[in-house]
Amino acid sequence: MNDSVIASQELGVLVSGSLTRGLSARLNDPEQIERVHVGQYVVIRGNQARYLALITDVSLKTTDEQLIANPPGDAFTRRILAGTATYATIELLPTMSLVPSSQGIGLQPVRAVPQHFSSVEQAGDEDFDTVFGREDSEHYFIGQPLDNTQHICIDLRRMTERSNGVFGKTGTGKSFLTRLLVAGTIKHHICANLIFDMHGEYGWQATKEDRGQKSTVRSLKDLFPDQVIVFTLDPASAQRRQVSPDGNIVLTLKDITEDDILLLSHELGLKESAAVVISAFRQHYKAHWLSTLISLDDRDISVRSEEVGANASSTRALVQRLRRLVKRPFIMADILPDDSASADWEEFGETNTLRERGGSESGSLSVIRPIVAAIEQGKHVVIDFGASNDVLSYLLVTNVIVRNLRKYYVERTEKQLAGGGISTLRPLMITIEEAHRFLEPDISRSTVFGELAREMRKYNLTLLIVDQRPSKIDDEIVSQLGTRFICLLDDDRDIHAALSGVSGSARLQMVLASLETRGQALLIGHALPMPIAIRTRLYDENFYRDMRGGLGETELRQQADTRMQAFRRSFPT
Amino acid sequence: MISGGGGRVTSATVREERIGEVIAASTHEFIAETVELHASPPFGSFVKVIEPHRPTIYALVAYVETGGLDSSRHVFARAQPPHLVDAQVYDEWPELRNVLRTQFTARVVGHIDGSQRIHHWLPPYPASLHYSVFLCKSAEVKAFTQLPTYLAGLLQGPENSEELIAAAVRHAASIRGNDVNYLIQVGRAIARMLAHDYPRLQLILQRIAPKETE
Repeated sequence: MNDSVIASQELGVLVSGSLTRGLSARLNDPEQIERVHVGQYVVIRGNQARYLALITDVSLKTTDEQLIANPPGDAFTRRILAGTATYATIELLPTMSLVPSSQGIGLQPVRAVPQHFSSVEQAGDEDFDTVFGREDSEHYFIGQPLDNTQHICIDLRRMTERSNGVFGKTGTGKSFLTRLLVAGTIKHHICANLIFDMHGEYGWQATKEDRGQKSTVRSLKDLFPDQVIVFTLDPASAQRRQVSPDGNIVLTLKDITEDDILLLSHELGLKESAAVVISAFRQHYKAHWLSTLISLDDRDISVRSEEVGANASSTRALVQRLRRLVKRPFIMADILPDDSASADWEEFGETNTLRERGGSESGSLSVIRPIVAAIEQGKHVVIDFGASNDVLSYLLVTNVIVRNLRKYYVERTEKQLAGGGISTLRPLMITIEEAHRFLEPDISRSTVFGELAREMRKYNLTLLIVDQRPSKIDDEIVSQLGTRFICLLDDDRDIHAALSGVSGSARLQMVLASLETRGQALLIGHALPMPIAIRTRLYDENFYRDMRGGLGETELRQQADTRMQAFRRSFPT
Repeated sequence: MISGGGGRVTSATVREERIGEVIAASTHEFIAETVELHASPPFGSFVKVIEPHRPTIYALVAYVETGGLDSSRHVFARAQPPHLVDAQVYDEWPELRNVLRTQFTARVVGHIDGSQRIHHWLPPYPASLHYSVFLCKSAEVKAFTQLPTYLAGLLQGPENSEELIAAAVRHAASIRGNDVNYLIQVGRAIARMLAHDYPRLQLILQRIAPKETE
């Protein structure tokens, strides 16, 4: 393998380093230096194997310190010094060894170091093919290496086995990447999706900003018209936007629990005493604590507070804030009879029914009924927030729905497993934006999201966390993420957090910081054999055609209309 | 990669130009007296000593000196301006040509063996006394300087070897029409040899830089 002849594409030779600190290679041609980029892959030809290594840094070096103090002034001397007294080295992070065997080339983690002066070359198409595999029903084309046109694929099945994260500051292409990932899981029937679409980017047409010019791009609904169901919290806004949602989401006061409110403490500006007041009222008024609290007039507050043993002024402050919260168009005052919460799961066509006990404190399953119904019919659900896309609404609705879904999934799975069977629930990937608001260190342990990110995959529930401030997310959660898709991040804390728990993270930080502002990402984790920086696949006509499986626009519409009619007929309204 | 020579020169068919006679010799250098007074080969030029059954020694003219034959007698000024100056001094006192002599020191830089292979390292024997010293012809210099490894030994020499190296390189380049690429190639080799001595490297590079980039 170790050719004695110097390969023509040889970039340089290995000169120093270690397995733990990374390797260093000297570039042959100093003029190449500007063509070598951080984030590119190279191959080191060892005697036993080829080693794929990521360029994590490029350095300028001199053999004599005096050159730094007294640089040559003339072009002749500079030309002579280039590559002799002045030279460049690249720092390499070996990520994978390709070991030839009788069965072909095997992928192995790097446990050895090639010898001094091993040849370092640019990684070729066949190397990427060997490592990332070719496109098939589970390998999904996500982008191309920074310096190459090869298709890099991620293993969707492996990806959805765990919770994942998409990070990047605003405008770096997080939403595009997320849409690509979700579209992949839909196209290849990997899992069901539930997307909390805060900014209207997934359901209907989204806008794309390119050098200040706005244009529209296809939404998931456009791409998969018969598979994606859009529920809205704001029918009025949908009407204004001239789109027709497949259903509306409405919360009742009883859907909102003590924990839901406490999750919003920061956004609502609640004082610590609020928890005590809520607890006191809940004990007294059970499921009606919220409706009771917001209906109290000033005189009642003192009387009732005394009754339940709460501080009147704390109650007053809380009531004010709660009233502001429930004044949202998608929240209905309770108009249903008390036992409305006892949703009958038989309506879902399930033999093993799960009965919610009436007046239970955990809220009602009726909120998630349409969602569960759609998912069970093989659909994917986008929750459109319309104009109600303030943080409070987003947190509240997402929390209420996910909390109930979790309960549903856990109880159903346990029931199926208890019966000696296996879980038949479709795996569900829940996409949440502004994820740090659910996963901040001080609240992540008490919310359903922390639990989901940590261990819910055994119940077929995983999260796709989309966020611009990973440093605000509980470290433990980030380090548990299966695969991370990281676009450019500026803040050092964010870069550090996005890479927490990744081996060689200090060197990958360099790669991350060198990404372009738009359309590039560093991919690390379970769905890939090794980390790689990519140019994200273009969200263009080719992509649309791929996703539609070759169907033309009209055919697709017709097919979708027929299928959607069938779905609507079966849909519990 | 620079290797230790290995080229060949074709045997000389042109009549050799005898320029001196070896009067002192060691492994590293020899001293020769020129055939005619003041007729020394230029500083930095290539000379050779040919002996039967021995390698032909290649050397670089490193030092030239003219003085009295008898070291106990001082040379004094004889000109009487305005009519008796310069060459007229020698016409007036023709015996001067017999009592003065020019000597040059040549640093040995390599040799050519019996198979006409060029080696850029020291020959097994020094030059023999009283043997003739010849000026190398352009073709020989070109062949010998194809690779710059012959310079390596000079760097370990006395203080002013930068001047000698620069002169040799200029000479070798002039045979090649002052080809910049050749200068760069040689410059790079020297830069590698002096990787940890930038000031010395700079002295040489300043002396070999092509005119337009100086």
